[in-house]
Amino acid sequence: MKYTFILVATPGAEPAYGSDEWKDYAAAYGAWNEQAAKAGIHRGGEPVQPPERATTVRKVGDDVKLHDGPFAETKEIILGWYLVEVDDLDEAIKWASKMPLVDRGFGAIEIRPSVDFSQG
Amino acid sequence: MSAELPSKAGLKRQVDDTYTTEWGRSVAFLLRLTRDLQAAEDCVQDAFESALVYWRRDGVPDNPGAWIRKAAKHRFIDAARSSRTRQEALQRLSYLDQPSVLNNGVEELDALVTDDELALIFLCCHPAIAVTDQVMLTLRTVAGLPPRDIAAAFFAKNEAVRTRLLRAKRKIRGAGIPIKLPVAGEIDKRLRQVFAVIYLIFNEGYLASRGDDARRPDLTREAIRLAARLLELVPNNNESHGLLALLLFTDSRTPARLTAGDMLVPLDEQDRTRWNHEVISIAFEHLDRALACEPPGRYALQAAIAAEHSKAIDYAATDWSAIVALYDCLLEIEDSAVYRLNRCVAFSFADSPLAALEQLAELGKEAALESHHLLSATRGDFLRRAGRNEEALTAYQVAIGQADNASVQKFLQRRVGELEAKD
Repeated sequence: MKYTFILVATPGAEPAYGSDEWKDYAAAYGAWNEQAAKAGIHRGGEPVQPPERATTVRKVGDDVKLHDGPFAETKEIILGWYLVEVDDLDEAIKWASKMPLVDRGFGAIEIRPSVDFSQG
Repeated sequence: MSAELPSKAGLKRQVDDTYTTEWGRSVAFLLRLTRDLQAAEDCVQDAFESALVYWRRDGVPDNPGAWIRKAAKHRFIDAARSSRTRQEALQRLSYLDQPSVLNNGVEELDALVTDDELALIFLCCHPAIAVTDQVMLTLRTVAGLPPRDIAAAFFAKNEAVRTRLLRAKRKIRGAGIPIKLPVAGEIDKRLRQVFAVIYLIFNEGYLASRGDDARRPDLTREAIRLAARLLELVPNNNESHGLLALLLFTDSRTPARLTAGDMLVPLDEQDRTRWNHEVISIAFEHLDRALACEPPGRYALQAAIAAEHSKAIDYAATDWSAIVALYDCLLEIEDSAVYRLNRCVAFSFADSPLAALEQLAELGKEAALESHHLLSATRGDFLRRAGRNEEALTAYQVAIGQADNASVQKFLQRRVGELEAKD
């Protein structure tokens, strides 16, 4: 099954960009990616820029309205997403738990199974 | 087949007995074919309905469980054959190619079913499912309780229970929660969740958290049955013994726990000759097994605490120091506010109510206990025993306002009445 991991950080929890701790943190992501590639589960993903650079598009009446910022006001910050393909939810949970964001307690991962149109 | 045909009432009872022991196992077995809980339950339900007809005509089979599973399997095959399209039928029947499913004798199947049943329990208690849903799903799918009974037990509406069950089943299927035994490294962690669900079911039955019935016998019985079954499925786990021992010790006091008017009888006033001593001796056997392993787990320790009461010939003979020591062990495993409150109560007897009152003041700062009736009621008890009646009265009145169970309120009212009579 395919699962999308949505990575959300707690504001201020992650180490400062460029610090030694940050370098170690970034390296842990590299190691995760390598393991996922080796296991053949990695199907895609991107880190995304911070919420203040988000633009939300919505149709209101006949007009397409733009909103400067994310669609929902939350404290959490979406960092990016991954797409993995594994046997079942237990496998997905195992991989998500090993992600540095979760492992180091800087945030959480929401696991969303992909819609499978071949299943009723 | 039995030689004699059963009477209508006898048949009903035999089908009910089979339902009690074989429902969960049969759903587990069918799940192998259907890969869908609802479909598995439907096939097994159909099989039980046909049992009423066939067993009346042909007699009750020697192995009723195997009969039910075979009938349910045929029900599944028939349904698959009548699928709208050939492709759908082939897809559904492809599971039958598993040699383990189709062409075995009853004994081989029964061995398989044991693993299936355990996998089903783990499935229902999967941590990705909300805890309330785990509880309801376990009662429905493993224990075979109809949704209307679950609704009655939880003071919920039928429709709400059905919706919850459906939502949980959809999550299992949609999110790909696996129908298999957890990997070796995960088993202990996952078992802890199963224990927790069984314990929740028991507690819900033993002391209703809402409403007027202090005790609904069905849920305590279901929980004990589930714990006993789990022990058969996972025989070498000392916590399985610990959990069963704890449930049995607690349940053994049921005959002495309520007055005819549904008033709670506190432990010190219970007529201990009315405790079920047969149940207590079984509980001690399981406790011994649970304590044979070092270090004892949390259920073993709680069972050991319950056992101290069962050992004491009367309330005055209770070894409170031993109970305090057991709570200390328990707190090392898990620091919970409720354990600390209970330790404090034991300490009030081992030492003095005034010394315990100081500890209680500290506990009152905990968020989990801040406005809990147990804390106020305990404060009332300590003050009453220390002879500070007026303060005790106030504490009991606070507790009455915080409690939402009628039996508990009635009991606290009684304490208030006793104190007022002294003035």
